Amino acid sequence: MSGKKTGTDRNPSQQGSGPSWLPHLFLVPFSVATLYPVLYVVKLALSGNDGASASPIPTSISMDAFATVVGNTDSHGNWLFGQQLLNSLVIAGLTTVVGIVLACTAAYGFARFEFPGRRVGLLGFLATQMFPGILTMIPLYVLMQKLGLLDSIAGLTLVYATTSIPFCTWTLKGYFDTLPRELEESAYIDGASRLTIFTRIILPLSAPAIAVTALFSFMSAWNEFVLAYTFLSSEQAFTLPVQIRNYVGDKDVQWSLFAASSLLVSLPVMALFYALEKHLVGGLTAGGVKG
Amino acid sequence: MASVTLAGINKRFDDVHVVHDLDLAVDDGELVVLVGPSGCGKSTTLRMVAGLEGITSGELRIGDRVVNDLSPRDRDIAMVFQSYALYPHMTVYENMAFGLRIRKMAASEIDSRVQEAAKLLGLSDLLQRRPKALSGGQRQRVAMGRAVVREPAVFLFDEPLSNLDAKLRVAMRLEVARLHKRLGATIMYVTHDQVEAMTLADRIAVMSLGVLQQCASPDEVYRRPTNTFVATFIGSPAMNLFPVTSTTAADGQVTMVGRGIQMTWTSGAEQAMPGELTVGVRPQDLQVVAESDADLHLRVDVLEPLGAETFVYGALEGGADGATGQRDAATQERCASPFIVRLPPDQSVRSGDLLHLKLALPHFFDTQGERLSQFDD
Repeated sequence: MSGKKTGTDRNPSQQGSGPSWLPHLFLVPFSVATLYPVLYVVKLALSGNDGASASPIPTSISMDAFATVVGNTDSHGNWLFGQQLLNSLVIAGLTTVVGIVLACTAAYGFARFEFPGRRVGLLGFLATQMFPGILTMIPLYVLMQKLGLLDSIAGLTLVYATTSIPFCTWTLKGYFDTLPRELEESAYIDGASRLTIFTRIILPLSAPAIAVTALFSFMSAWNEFVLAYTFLSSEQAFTLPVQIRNYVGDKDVQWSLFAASSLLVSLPVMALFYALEKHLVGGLTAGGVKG
Repeated sequence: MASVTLAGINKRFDDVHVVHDLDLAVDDGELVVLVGPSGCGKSTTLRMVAGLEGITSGELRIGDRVVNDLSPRDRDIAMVFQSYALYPHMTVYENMAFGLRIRKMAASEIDSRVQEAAKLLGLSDLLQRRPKALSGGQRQRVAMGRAVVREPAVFLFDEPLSNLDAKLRVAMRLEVARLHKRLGATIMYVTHDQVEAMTLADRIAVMSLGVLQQCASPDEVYRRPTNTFVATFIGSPAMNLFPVTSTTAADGQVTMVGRGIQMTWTSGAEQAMPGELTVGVRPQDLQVVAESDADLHLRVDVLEPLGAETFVYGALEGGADGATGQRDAATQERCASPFIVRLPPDQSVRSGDLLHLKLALPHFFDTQGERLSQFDD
């Protein structure tokens, strides 16, 4: 008997859905439509704005735009790009750490304990997600001004962490709900305290969910523009998205610098995605099937 | 090791009374199996002993200490769960050592205990594996090992074999029995499987609807069930029950009449049998005889040939229609179950045949389903 697979060896659930090239007929145009803007930005970064051409293929390759963006300095000769990159990293990193620490503990409390206000608290968290973030800008501005936190990394971190905690809490609570209670009961009988159970059982088992939530938190803070543009005023305190906006002038747009800095800003997020890919897949599919 | 004493234990979840006035004493080194159908309160009872559920009222003692308000970690107990509850991110060794590390035991002592338990349970080659790389039986052995290394005063097993396939369950049952024999440990073991209960227990505690029905040795529970619930729950297939009306003659001979039943019984007891009662007989205590010698007549419906024996299901037929007295609803329901007879495999029977049966070792219950023990042989 031949070991070669024939058409009839296919899984029955995969049969009878028409010719195999049919899905590609739809997928290829969709992929092109999705990739076109990205390729066009790459082209702009490498070739500059060469006129009316709509082609995404670079007409020339030059790294000048990248060099200009990276080498950007202020009037005193301070290296602005480095400072702004550091600002973005610190703000996004601190937002992630503060948000995850608070969201993990809050989510565990909501998932495992019954207490007065639990339901109201959860619904309150959900309600904050239903309003556009821009609504909070004025009260936040007033609050930051009174606290003297305008134009500071600490202030922006606090704002970002506050806005990311409700979503992170809901996501993590959903995951904690799926963890079998017997694991905690077993550890409890073994002699572990609540804190030990949380740090040595719950958190390691929740690594995929924490990775997804942390990435969300990091990306939100990293890419955020409106709040940063409102609360930061000095170039030294800017984050990278605010600096990107500076390449769009009132009368002139430096497209190649805009495109180059956009690509540079997206690199750390891409690196993070790559590093957390394994956890992300686990986190996104967690609870989908019985383990 | 230590004894466990439950005195007047009650458990309520809001308006639902789950365990009623439970009195149970587990002696030092004894293996008591709590058995009963789903929702009977057996797991809740075990969780109360573990400290995972609060006690509404009553007193729980482990050894000499009242432990009602002690947290699980202070009760000196170990528990094996149905779902194994192994920590997936730890190796077998780390799983077994977890409880000892939490208690800050010396590393050398931890290693010695883990190695010893691993040897006892045949886990020595699996110590560096993660739970996901183990079979169901191996996982349950690790769960048992995790309990063993702790050397607790009391072991609690909550349906530990229910997730295993039939063959593995038999093997693991032996493992538990061996463990109990070697360690001489005090064990409370919850199961809904009466075979597990019969084979493992020093004593069986049968529960139904949150009430302890009977607590006795497996032999006693099987031979002298205290009521119709225990009679039908213990033993497979279940005991047959049928309602009869009895008349006791001056010489002590009792005549019993019911649907498909006409039998006499010589009672050794001094008092007369009640006029209305329920008779129970196990499927193996019935014998096919000639029509003139028969107590019962059974119309065969379904046959279950199992190789070594054949179970015959049917309904009693013919005879006088007695037994009109009221019985408790549960007993009435049990009486309505199909009648079962165990026959040797060479007995030729077909569906539709009328079998004439002679009854031995009958059990007598009153109209409330309670055993009439004064009429035991």
